[in-house]
Amino acid sequence: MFGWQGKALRVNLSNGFVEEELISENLLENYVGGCRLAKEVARLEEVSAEKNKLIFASGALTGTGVPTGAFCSVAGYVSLQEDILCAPLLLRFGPELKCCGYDVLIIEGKAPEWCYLFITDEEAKVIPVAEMEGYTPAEIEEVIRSSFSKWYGNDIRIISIGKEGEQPSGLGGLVTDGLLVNYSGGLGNVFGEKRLKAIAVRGTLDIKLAKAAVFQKIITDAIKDFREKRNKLFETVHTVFARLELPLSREIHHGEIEKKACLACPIACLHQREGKFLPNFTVTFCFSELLEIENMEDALTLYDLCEKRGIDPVALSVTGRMLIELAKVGKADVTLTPGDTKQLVALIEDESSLLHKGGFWLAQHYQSETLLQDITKKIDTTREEIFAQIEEAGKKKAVLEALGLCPYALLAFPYDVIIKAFEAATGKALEVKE
Amino acid sequence: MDPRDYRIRVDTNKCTGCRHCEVACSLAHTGDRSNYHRARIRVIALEDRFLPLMAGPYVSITEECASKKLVNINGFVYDQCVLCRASCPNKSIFKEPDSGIPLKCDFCGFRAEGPACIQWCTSGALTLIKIKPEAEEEL
Repeated sequence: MFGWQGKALRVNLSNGFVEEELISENLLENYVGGCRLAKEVARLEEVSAEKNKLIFASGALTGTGVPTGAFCSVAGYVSLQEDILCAPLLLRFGPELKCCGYDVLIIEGKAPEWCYLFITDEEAKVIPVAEMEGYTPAEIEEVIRSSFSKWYGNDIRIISIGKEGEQPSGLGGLVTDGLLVNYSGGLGNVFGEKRLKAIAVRGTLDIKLAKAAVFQKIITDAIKDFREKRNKLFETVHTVFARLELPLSREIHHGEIEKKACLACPIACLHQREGKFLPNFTVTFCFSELLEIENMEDALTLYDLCEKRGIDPVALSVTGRMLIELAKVGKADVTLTPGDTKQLVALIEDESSLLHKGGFWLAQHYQSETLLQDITKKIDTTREEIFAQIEEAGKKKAVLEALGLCPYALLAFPYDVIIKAFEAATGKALEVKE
Repeated sequence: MDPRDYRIRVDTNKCTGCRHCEVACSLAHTGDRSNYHRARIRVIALEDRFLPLMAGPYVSITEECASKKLVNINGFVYDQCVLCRASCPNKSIFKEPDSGIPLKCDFCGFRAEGPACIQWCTSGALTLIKIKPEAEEEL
C-alpha cells in the first residue's frame, strides 16, 4: 500500500493485549484519514459511554512530505458531552505513529493502575507508572524521555494528560510535545477514565510513495511557487488579523519569540518564548473575546496553568463565558467577572466548581443550548474570516483534514496541487463526496 | 555539479524546525520512500533554536575525542558533541535505522538540481554556496 501503511494497532489496557490488524483498502479509500476515518472506526467499533475507546487516525498524506502534512486525529466518547469528539493533533505525533507502521490506533479497556503506552515499530507495551498520578504533562514528558538515551529520547513523540484529565471534567485536554491541543476538552478525561497518562511513539519505518518522482516534482514546484508568493500570503494573514482587532494577540506574539513549525510546514504559525509555547491565535481570541482578558501577563498566566493542569484553553474559555452569562441572568450561583483572571484561577483550582462541568453540561443543565451555540459560533466565525477569500473553503478544509494537512495549507498552496500530490503518493484518485 | 565545490550554509535564526529538509533528503536518497529517520541531515532542537546538521563521516570515538569542549551560542552553553557532524557510537543519529549503516551527506551530487534539502527548505535556513579559491559566491 502507498501513502497509507494499511495497518491498525489495537491495545487493550485491561490485559495489556496488543494486536496488529490490516485495514481494508475500501475503508481507507472511502474515509481517507483524520477525523472522518477516526469517527468511522469509532462507529464500526460501536464506541459508547459503556464501551469507550480512543481512536487515533493519521491522514493519508501525514509524514509523506506534502507541506503541512503532519496531522493526526484522536476521537473518543466524551460522557459530559454525550457524543464522540474528535480533535486534531499537531507537531509530529501523527508522522511518528505512521513511522511505527500504523494509520490507526485503537485503545480499549481500562488499565488496573496509571500507565503509559509505548509504541515503536517493533513492539507496543503498556508500562505501569502509578507514581505519575498528578504529574503535569511537562513532568511526564521529562520522565519518559529521560528513561532513554538523550538522542533517542528527543525523537520520542508524546501525548499526555495533566491533573484535569485524571478527574471527571469537561475541560481535560491533551498536550502533545509541550503544546496544548485546542478543542481536545473532554478527550483528556477519556485518557483519565482508562488510567492512561500518556502515549509515547517512536518509529523508523518508511512511508512508500506510488509515483515518487511525480510526487517530488509536484512538491518541489509547489514550494518554488510558495517562495515567490510568501510575502503576499503573510500580508493577507496580517490584514485579516488587523481587521479582527486582537491587541492581545499582537502583544503576545511581539518581541523575542521563536517560530516553530509542525512537520513540513512552511507557515510556522506556532510561537515559543524560552522553549515554551505561547497561546496561538484561536486561544488569544478566546481569552480576549470570551473571557475579556486584556492583560498579556494574565493571559500568559492562565495559559501556563492550562499547560500545567492539561486544560483545553478553548473549552475553558467557552465554559467561562457560559458561566459569566448564566451568572448575569441569575441562573448559576457563581462569581466570575469578565477579565478577572484571579477568580477564574480560583474556580479552576476548586475541583468541585461548575467550571469543570464544561460548556455542554452547563447548556443542558440550565437549558441554555442557544447560548452555547452563540458562543461557539463566535469562534467559528472568526476562524472563517481567514478563509473568506477561498471558494468552497468548508469542503476543501474537510478534505485537507482527512489528508492530514493543516487547513492553513489552503492559503499557501493551490487545492488542485494538493489533490495531485495525494494521487501521486497513494496511486489512487480522490473522490470527494458531499 | 561537483559537490566538492559547494557548501551548505545554515542560518539557525531562520530554521523553524519543520524538518522538511529531512523528508526531502530521505526521498531523494531512497527514491520512493519518505522517512526522516533515514535523512543525512537532522534538525537538532537546542534551547533557543533549531540546528540543522549534515552527516559527516563515521568516526570511531575514543576517550580523546575532540568533541568534549563546551560551546557558547547566544548565552547558552552546549556540549560540542551536539554540534559535531560526525556519526559515532555516542550518537544514534545519522545511521540507517534498520541496517545501522552510518550515513554521510553527499550534497546530492547525483542530482543536477543540487541538494534536495535546500530545494524544500522554505524558511531560508539552508542555502547553497559555491566555494571559490578567492571568495564565496552565493547561488
